[in-house]
Amino acid sequence: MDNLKVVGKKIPKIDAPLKATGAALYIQDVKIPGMLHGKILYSQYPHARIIKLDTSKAEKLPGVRAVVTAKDMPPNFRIGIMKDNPPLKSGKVLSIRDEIAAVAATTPEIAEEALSLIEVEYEELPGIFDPLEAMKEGAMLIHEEAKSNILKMPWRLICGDVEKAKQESAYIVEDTFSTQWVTHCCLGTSGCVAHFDMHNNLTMYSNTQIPSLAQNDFVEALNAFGLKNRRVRIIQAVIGGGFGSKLDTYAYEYIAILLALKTRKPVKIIFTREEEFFATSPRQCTITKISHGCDKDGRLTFRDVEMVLDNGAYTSWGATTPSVMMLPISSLYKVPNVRYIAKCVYTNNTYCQAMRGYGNPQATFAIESSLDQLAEKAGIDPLELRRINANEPGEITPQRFKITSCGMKECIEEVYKRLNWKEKRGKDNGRGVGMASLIHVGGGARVYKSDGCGTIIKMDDFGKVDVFTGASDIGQGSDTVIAQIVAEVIGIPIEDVNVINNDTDICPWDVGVHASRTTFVAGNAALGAARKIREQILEAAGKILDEDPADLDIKDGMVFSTKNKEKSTPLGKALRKIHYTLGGKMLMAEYFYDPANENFDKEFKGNLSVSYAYGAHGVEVEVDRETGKVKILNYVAAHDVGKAINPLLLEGQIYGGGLQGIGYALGEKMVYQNGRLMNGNFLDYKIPTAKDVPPIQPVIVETDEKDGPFGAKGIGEPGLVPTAPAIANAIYDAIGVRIKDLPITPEKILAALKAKDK
Amino acid sequence: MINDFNYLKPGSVKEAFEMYAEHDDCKVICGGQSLLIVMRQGMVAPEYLLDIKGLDELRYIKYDEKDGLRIGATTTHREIEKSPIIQEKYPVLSLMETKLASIQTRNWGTIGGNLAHADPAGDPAPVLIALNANIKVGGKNGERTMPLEDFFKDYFETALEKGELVLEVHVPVPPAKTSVAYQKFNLLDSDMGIVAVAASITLNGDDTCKDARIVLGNAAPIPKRVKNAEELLKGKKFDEKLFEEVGRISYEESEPVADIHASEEHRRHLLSVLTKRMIKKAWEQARAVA
Repeated sequence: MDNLKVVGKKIPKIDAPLKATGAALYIQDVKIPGMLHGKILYSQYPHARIIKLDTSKAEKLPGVRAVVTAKDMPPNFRIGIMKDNPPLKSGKVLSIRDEIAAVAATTPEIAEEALSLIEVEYEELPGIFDPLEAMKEGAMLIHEEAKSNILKMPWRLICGDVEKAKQESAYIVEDTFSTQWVTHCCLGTSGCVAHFDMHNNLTMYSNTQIPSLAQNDFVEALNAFGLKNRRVRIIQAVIGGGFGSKLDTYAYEYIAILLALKTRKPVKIIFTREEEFFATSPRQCTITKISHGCDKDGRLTFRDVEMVLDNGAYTSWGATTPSVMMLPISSLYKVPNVRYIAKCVYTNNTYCQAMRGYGNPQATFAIESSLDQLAEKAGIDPLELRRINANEPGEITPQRFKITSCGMKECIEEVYKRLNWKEKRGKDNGRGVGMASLIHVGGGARVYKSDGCGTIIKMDDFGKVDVFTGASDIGQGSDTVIAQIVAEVIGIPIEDVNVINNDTDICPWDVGVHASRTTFVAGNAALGAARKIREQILEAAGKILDEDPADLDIKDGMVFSTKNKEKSTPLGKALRKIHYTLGGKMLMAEYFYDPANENFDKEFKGNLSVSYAYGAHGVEVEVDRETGKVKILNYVAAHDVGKAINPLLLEGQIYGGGLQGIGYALGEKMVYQNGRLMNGNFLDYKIPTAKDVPPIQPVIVETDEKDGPFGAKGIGEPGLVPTAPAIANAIYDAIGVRIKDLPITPEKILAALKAKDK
Repeated sequence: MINDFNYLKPGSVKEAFEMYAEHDDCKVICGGQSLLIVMRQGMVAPEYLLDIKGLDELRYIKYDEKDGLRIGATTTHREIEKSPIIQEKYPVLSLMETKLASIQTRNWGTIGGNLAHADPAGDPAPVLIALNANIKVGGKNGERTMPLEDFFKDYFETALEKGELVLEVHVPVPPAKTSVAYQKFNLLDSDMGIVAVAASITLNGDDTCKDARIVLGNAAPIPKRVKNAEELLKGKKFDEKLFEEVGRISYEESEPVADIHASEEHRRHLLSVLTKRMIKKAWEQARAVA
């Protein structure tokens, strides 16, 4: 690990100049000759029957090439993990974002005008917008064919004996916490271009974060359209942010495919910012009842959690977030007895998706807020309570996670030290400190049948390398990290590495950008391929230099003998010799890495990830008792990342995650009133900007994960997981009121202060 | 989607007056930081846009020790923020600008455009009214000047007659021992204010209050003077209890409306707190000035 030349260095993102200068080509920039522009007509009501749908006027508008409705889609074609979502709706609309018709025209303006010519008559129906209402016996069914509004997803994790532990606990707390809808706010809005060749093979220009799974989805769609055995190619443009929003395929993509088939032209659909707000899928809101107990010494005895999630009208990955919530619920701190039951409930609201943390922030908000309540009841300093119960290396948690490297205690100590915890805590002067920890998957996550990623490396005649990876870069910097790993292993400058990561015709399979897995899984795949090609180089150079390959090394693009320094050759020269000779060869290598993690068994147990990421956030706040405004004075974000491949990018993840978490804690909220989004724009949806960044101290704790590339673990999501409870706990320390539903607004604080004074 | 429109680009103020008089259904654009948003939302769809941003005749910041400050309508927010003379003589104006949206917006947006848009949540108007500013408007048929507080008529409505443009803001030299403080309440650093308060305090030689002007932002359809509170302060000494009382008057006299960002009650409460704080701040600052 010593003498690393590229790995561990603060190297700026390779793509930063392109993005900073506007040279990067996003999906908005993709143009194909003959391309048409598609626009979608959405429902006017969150719940209504369509009485009449007349597209004849729109069809007659000059420039319109096709108008499609549900009639044009294959019957019974549904998308989403529960196959409950027809890309174009007929009969009844179930949410305000229901797609009912679409237009392809020669310009976006004509397409927009055509939408206004589509005549729709609705019979408005009463809707259900509260999941607790929707769960009641006899509630109106959102999906008439279903027997209940509760999804058939029995999220239920039982470890040990919670009831017995309750009886044996010295202290018990119970409370209810709730979280709001928030959205990803990707600067690059959603979009695609669907393009068929003359053999009906489909090329999708896309900004998906799951190219291989999207390819699979679209192959299925083509089958449904009667186009059997066709090829689907996904080409990703530069992606302007994902955060989980692009982890599924969406109705608009299937609509673009339908319009392209119908018109025999490439069709582009790009979301406006308003569509990006109301027609993409946010983080799900939750209602969490949680109970915690500990013994007289503060050792946790049980954790009991019941949760209701508003699923919205259709089902995407949001409904599976309880599978990840189980991770902190069962394994954040040592807690021997655990019960977790979650229900996802259909409503006439927007349907939800993955978003950075995948349920973990919602669960951790409840857990870590509740733990502070328990600490108070037990008369123990909340940080001390966490020290007592902190996870440790070698532990096997109740859900059967095998903890390998674990820097949780170090992270807690960093918070203690850098926040000046002892000094600042319990002053009751409008200032306070609070903290919260996190556990997340850090070594992939086997949520799909494969958790793998493939990498191909080829060398050219000049010592330069092309790396073809399945991993997508959605802004997180994976292209830079992969280039660093390959450069380090081979022994060449990072400038000599070219990462190609955006074309399923060229790049190998990868399950997608999720679960903070890319550095770990794609990094290991790149590492494996780079080692193979290094061996090939040394083998061939050994012959050229007449040396034992074991005595050769490569540095800065020179191959040399470690025994005889005079024996050396530039890498490019060696490669040309290998190539331009009778029976010559080009150097290429491939590697497929699939971590040795486990799918959950039927009881939702198993070692989901080969390593786990830890962290602790501590925050000092000042609360204005008169206005309710919270100011963050100091923010310590300590993360066990195994090894920082690129500390600059890693700190960027911590800043970005932290700020996203601060927005989640203190202000961001999608305001839905009776199924309608009231603040679908950046004026009314309050996302923190660069000017709102408080003093954040990112602290990197390195624990050298044995299975990680150069010892690294994942860091993509953890940055926002413990933010909200850390802030809520600090506010409690500052002014003695606990806000249990996010976001923590000044109005809620003032109301709580008023209630407390009574 | 923004509608198709005809773009008019005058070369002089005179030509702007003529073009504006000639074209019906014409909106003036002078930076577009507010107009383009409502056009994009389809709320405004004019046939003509008259772009006066390039009129350098109206782009100036002039200061005279007797006459005070004159700012031409096409002067950008950023120019006001960065002006050394404004920073020296009217620091509250510069400070207000530092919190007005983003640098990008301040580089584009102009003082004339901002005032003509007449958004009750706009930052400059309360500060300028507290500074006793006047506004000069004009068209083909001549110019006229009025106190800025008389310029605002209703939500997004002003005293501008058909064919008239905003030409200049005039801020007189403040009386001796005068200071103005401004604060808006928001959750994000440079966001629009949920509410805002500007307070001007002029002290007598014995540190009693000679004059006061209190202006509430986003508290009513137009920037709102709280004259009962101003009267109450006159002749009084520095007294925190009095400031509480004045805050209560703001609470009672304001007419805020509830929206998704804050309830009516919360807005009134914040107005009372900010009024109290801004009077205190302006008073303390006024003691320090000559």
